[in-house]
Amino acid sequence: MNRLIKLLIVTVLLASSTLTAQSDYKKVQTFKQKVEYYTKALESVRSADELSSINDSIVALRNKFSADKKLLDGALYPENYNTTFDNLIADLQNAEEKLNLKTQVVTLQTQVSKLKRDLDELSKSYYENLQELTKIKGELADERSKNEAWTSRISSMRSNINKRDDIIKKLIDSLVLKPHYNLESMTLNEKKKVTYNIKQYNLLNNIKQLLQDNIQFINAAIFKPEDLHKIKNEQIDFKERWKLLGTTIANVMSVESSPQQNLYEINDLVNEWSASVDKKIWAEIKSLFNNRGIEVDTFYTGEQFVNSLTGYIDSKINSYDEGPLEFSADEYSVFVDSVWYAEINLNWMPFLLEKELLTEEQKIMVEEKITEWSQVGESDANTLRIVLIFVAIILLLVIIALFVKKRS
Amino acid sequence: MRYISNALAALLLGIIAAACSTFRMEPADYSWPVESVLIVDEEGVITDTRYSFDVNVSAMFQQEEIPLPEISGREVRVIRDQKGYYFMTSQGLRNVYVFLAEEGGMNLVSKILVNSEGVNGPAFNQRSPYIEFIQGDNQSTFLTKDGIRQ
Repeated sequence: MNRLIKLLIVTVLLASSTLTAQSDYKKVQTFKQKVEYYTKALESVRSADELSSINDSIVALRNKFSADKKLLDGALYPENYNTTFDNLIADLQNAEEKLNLKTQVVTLQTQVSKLKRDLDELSKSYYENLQELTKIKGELADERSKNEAWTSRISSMRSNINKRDDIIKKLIDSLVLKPHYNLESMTLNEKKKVTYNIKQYNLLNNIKQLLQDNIQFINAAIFKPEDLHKIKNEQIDFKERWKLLGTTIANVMSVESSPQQNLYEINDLVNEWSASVDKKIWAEIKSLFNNRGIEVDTFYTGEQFVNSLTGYIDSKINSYDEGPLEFSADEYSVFVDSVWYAEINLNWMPFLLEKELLTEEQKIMVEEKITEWSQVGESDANTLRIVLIFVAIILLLVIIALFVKKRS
Repeated sequence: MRYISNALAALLLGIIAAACSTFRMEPADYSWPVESVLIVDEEGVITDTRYSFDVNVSAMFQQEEIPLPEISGREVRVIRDQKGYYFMTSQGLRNVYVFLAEEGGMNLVSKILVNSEGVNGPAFNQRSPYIEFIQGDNQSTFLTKDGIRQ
């Protein structure tokens, strides 16, 4: 019976093979060629439609050759029918990821181009504002309208600088710190590409320009304490960001043999901006004394500030000792009550301490000097009191003497 | 008497040792799933990287009166059947040659005439227990080591 079945199978096999005889080798080669074709096509896929079409073709290939799975399992060694399609699906997924990334990059490039245009427009508008500011300074005679125009321009310029800073931040994020770039494992080609982007979008020159404008702005305008606080915060924030970014950019751009002059210039400008903001802060504080007729020496640092104030108080104390001046309660009160406590301690001190422009010890040194000054005032007041009591006693004795003499 | 018993014991041990060294493992299936198509090099050698063997096939071509300089670059189609016989032929040969691997070479087992004018577009398929041979316009015959299966 078994023999009969075997014979039957062989007969059917022979009959069918005669009709459809085809080389297995050819079949396998066709399959391999198609797989290779789709693998290569997936490496260079350009659109979602193309990807979808390849996906359909792979599904069709799988169906078409499913009847030859056994043949392919043997012939594709060390791969087999299933692992070949697993590899194709993995390639398909990679291609899809690449395509998504490509789309993201195109979107990013569009965004970056827009950011660059916005940046150029803002730079233009900043210089127009600066010109207007100079005009206002020279032309408007009416103080009130001058102030209004001035304030409006300053506010507009600050907003302009902030917007540009924001755009530069976004440009840096887009061009240098893209999420898919792991800086530590960046290849040479990736570094070259980022370097090219930095140059193409003139990023370093834009950072330089922004810093120069910030310096120009801080030197050109007058600010309220709260404005200076904000500007100082922005400056510190930028300096911190630049510390990280500068190192990163230097690392990325190290692929170039030419020295990074722009980076050194930016470092200098960052320090110059910091010094300019500090100078402006100290100048604003000095103006508090000057506005009340107190002429203290100019100071640009915390140490100079302490020396200037203690020097001023010392000169006052010494002048009382040496004459001809005497302790003036008004002078003391203006310096201590109106300026030191009402303005500096209230509006500036927390900020100066927080930003480390002044130390707690330096503050105490000034306050000790103020105490010393007040003691001189008190000792002068005591002397006056004793003299007055003495005069009163003498007057009383004279009156009593006159009274006794009259009675007798 | 003692010598005789020692000699018998030695004989018995010898028989056991001999029996152990000549055993057979079966069944075995040597069939390749698909034929190999191998190119003859300038020295007449074909190399199969998948099955890790190489063999000089110039003697097979000499059988068909094709000299060595003319065989370089030709395709040789090889397949191995279930029992381990190698079937070989090439475009233009009249026969399919059946070999069995031996120490250091392949011995001809049989020569099967498949086309007296030389085969055109030959190919082998594994159809255990047979080897399918295709030539021309998908003309198919089934082979064993002994010849064409009628």
